[in-house]
Amino acid sequence: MDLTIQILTKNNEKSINQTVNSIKPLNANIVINDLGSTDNTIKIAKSLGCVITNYKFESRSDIRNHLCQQFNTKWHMFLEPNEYAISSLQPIIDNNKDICYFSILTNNILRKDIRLWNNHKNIKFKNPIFEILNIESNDDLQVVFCSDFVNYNYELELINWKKKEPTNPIPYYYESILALNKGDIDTFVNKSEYFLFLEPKKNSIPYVMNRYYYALVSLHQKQVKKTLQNINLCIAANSLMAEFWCIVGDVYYHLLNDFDKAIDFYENAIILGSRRKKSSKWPMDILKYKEYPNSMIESCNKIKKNYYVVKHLNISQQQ
Amino acid sequence: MQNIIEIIAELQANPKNLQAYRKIIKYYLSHNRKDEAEAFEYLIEKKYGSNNSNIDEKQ
Repeated sequence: MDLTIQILTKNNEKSINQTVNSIKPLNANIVINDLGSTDNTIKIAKSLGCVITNYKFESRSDIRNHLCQQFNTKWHMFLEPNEYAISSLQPIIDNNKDICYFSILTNNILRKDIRLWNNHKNIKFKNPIFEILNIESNDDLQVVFCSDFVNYNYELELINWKKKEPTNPIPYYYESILALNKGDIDTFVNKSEYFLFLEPKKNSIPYVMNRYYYALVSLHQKQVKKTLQNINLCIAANSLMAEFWCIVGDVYYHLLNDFDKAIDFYENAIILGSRRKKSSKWPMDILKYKEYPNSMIESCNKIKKNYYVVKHLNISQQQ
Repeated sequence: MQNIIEIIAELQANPKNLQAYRKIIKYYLSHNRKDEAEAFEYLIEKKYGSNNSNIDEKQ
């Protein structure tokens, strides 16, 4: 296949074997651009038949754009060194669309990223880190890659990014997400506030997902009003996301102990979530689309039943 | 027409409020969001049955 697959590595000896082997069926030109590994990453990649390059630019996007120029195949695809295919790759071979999304699964979250593109269309990457292609598309390939979470420390790169683009909200978004992954809630809240203030598109996926994470944090902090305020904005932006309705159910279940209302919201999660389009580009918490709301409804009904039994016993004893 | 956030807040106070669900459908139809409008119509049908027109009076 006339395809180059770009992977940027740095000390990925534990995962690179799995990544490369999972894409071997594509019979593509696999290019590993190493960013200074001191472990066996390059040795393993060479043994797997990959092409090794060492381009070093300040920005990861510049490296990827340079690789697009250097390897003039019709198709380009990019992967992270901790990702590997968990579905058939045949749709990639059969593809005839210029720009395609893949599904990436990290823990329970399934997100869509543009990963395959026609390199003759002169499409460029943007962002110095967390690089993405500067284009949108509606074409979706039914290909799923699993991504093992790696907590990269991008502190310095994020500081430089903010210095270069002080009004760009996106670095604050990534700072907030990295803080949340580390469990640093104060930093998450602080960075989220900046991001939510600066982001002009109030219906954009990063804006709404940041509100969702903020609602989750507020729920854990038992702040009813703040949780509902945040999740309302999420539902207003996309009412077919089961995870948003589940949070409202959780507020009534965990914080307000109103199990009748909680059941209603969990039902909304199941019914509206079932109408979500497969082609939706929004990330999806796959557990919230069946198991979780169903188990919560079951739990609400059990609590209601026990409450009724206890109340009935008390009345009998009083009589 | 009411803001969508206000309608959702109304729904949160009373998730059995059929009128609020209908307001959401109206909002989506007026904003050309047919998929969401259909999803809420489906929700009403699932929760209240296909013969739901007389439920408003009870509420």
